[in-house]
Parts: sequence; C-alpha cells; structure tokens
Amino acid sequence: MTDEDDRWAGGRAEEVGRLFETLASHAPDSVEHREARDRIVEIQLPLVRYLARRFAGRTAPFEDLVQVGALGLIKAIERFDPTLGHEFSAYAGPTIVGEIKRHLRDTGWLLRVPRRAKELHAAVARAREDLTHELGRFPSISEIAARVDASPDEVAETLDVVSAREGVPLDPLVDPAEGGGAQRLVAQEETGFGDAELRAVLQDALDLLSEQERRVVMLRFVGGHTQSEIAARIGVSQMQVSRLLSRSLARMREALDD
Amino acid sequence: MSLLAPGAWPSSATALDVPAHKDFVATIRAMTRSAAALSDLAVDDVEELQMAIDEAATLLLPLVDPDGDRRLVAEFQIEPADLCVTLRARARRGAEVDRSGLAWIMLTALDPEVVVASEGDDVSISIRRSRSGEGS
Repeated sequence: MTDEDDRWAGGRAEEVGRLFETLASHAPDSVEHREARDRIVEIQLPLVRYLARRFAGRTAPFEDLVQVGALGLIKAIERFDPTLGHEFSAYAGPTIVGEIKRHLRDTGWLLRVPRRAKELHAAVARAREDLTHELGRFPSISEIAARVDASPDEVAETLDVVSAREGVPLDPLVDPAEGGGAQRLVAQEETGFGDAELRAVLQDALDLLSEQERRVVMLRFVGGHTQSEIAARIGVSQMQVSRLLSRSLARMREALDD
Repeated sequence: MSLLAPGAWPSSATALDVPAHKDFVATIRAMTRSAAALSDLAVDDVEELQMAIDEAATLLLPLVDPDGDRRLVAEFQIEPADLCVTLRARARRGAEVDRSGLAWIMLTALDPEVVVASEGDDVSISIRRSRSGEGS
C-alpha cells in the first residue's frame, strides 16, 4: 500500500461523477466549470503520481513524468463522456499512460536505456573492484547496489551487458591446414575510395538529419548493416528503423534536389 | 531476421515457481527479460511487460492463502514476436483481485486485454505482449 493509494481512496467515483455533471451543465469558460475541473484533477492526481512513478527513474525524472501525466489527465477530462456509464479513472489510466509513453519515446527513451545500462555497468565494475579491496572479500550484489545507488535488480541486469560484450575468437573456426588464421576470414577488398567524392556531397545532406537519423543512415549505407542488425544495435524495433530510414532518405533527397 | 530458431524448440512452455513474496518478483522480472529475448520483442515491450508483472504480483500477493503452499508460479508461453505470462497463486477462499485500486488501472493501461481467472482456489492473471507494430 503506497501513499498514493491512501490519498486516492478508490478514485472517489461518486464525487467525480457529480463533478462531471457540473462540468456538463456549465459553460467551459465559467467559474463553476473551471473549479469542477480543478477539483477532478486534484482528486485524480495520486493516480498520475502512481503511474508516473512506475515509469520514472531509469530514464526520465519522476517530476517530469508527473507533469506529462497531468496533461494526459486533463485531456482525459476533456474527452470523457460520463453518459456512457464508465468510471472516469478506468478511462483516464490508459490516456495518462499513453501520454507518458509518448513523452518517453519522443525524448529518445529507447536509446538512453542501453546507455544507462552501459554507464551502470562501468560503475558496477568499479564498485566491484573497490569493494573487493575494502572488504577483503567479493562484495554481494546488494553491497554493489548500495555503492552505485541502483537496485539489486539493475545491478544483476548489468551482468547481461558483460556477457553480451564477450566475443568468441574466430581462430578455432579456421582449419589450421589452410593457414592464414582468422585474418583471412575478416579481410575484404576496399571498394570505398571511388565513393569518397559522393560522400562529400552527401555530407551536407546528412548534416540536416538528427543524430539518431544520421546514425541509422550511416549504419545502413556506410556500415552495410541490415535493418534488423541496426535495430538490435540501437535497441529499437526493425519497424522503427525502417520508418527512420525512409524519413531520413526523403529529407536528404529533398535537400539534394535543391 | 532473428538469430533464434523457434522451429527447433521441442516446446515453448516455460515455468518459474517461486515463494509468494515480493522479494521474489525480481526473479520473474529477470525471467521475463530472457523470455522476451526468445520471443524477440522490442525493448520497450520488455520494460512494459516487466512493469505489468510488478502490478500483477502486487494484485496477487495480498490474496495468497497463508495456510496454502504460498507459491507464486509464473508460466511463460514463448512464441515468435509474442509472449504471454501468467502469474498464479493459491488464494484465500473468496479472495478476489482488487479492481478498484491503482495497480489495476496501471495493469489494464499496459495490457487492456489482461485476463483474470479463478480455478478452484487458484487465482491467475495473464498478460500478453506482441512485438510493437505487429498485431495489436
């Protein structure tokens, strides 16, 4: 049971129902209308805080998400039709969550998650070493968590980052009789010189793109990665990579035509 | 293109059986991460699925029968681009999921089609997520 639960008291369905009647019977610019709306916001704010808290922390500050969620709440009040017989809070929940999710997406949430994991990974590695010296034994996950100011769960997650970083040497794949080692497997002919001039022209167009768009375009056409590989690398879906690419190309084409 | 080979799996049903205590919800979250990787869901799907699991556990744990086995079972149906997680616990007789609280609103906001079921004394909550942009 959280503080929000205590103050929320089941959404006070009856009071909210009466307030929506007041909203319906008064003009939008009247004092009564505004007061009723403010009162609904006040009653439902613990709901916003509860939902915001669930999304907060790793990537966006809690207070920002409360602000965004409150906007969602006001939208929900404007759109809610009490005559359909639903309870307002059940209607408002998805609207508020939708607003928070949109905010997180627009501010590049998906890209910051891996970075946060990476940063935390570095901090965990450092704390692990420091604490081993200080304690004279291997530190526990919770001791590391306390040191880097993260939850034990988040610390455990960084272990996944470690395993993702460790590669397997290619050498065992090469038949020793053939000689040449792994070098032969990864070497390829450089065909890029002829493209250099073209790239110089493209650079201007590339400058128009956002950092993320540029990265995706470079990975696709310079790095030669597939959309799925790019999606895996930057941590978004293949659909999103596809959308980013077509949007970026359209803008570059427009710039080159000028 | 997925690096996984779902067609080669003998089956896809996976289960985790943990003590019915909030400290163990993290193990279900961790398993959800692995299962989501096998389903090849999007990163944001994984995070939201984990949030939904927190809420489902928040709703189930208060119902647990103190005289029962006090276990929380998580079942994972792992399909390509689709993952269904069912949390199940032995509940006190007549205990029901609280649908008036904040946890329920959060859960239904994350998965509007969440399924609550009772079978004998067991109460379960099922959450499903398909990869963003595919299906619903």
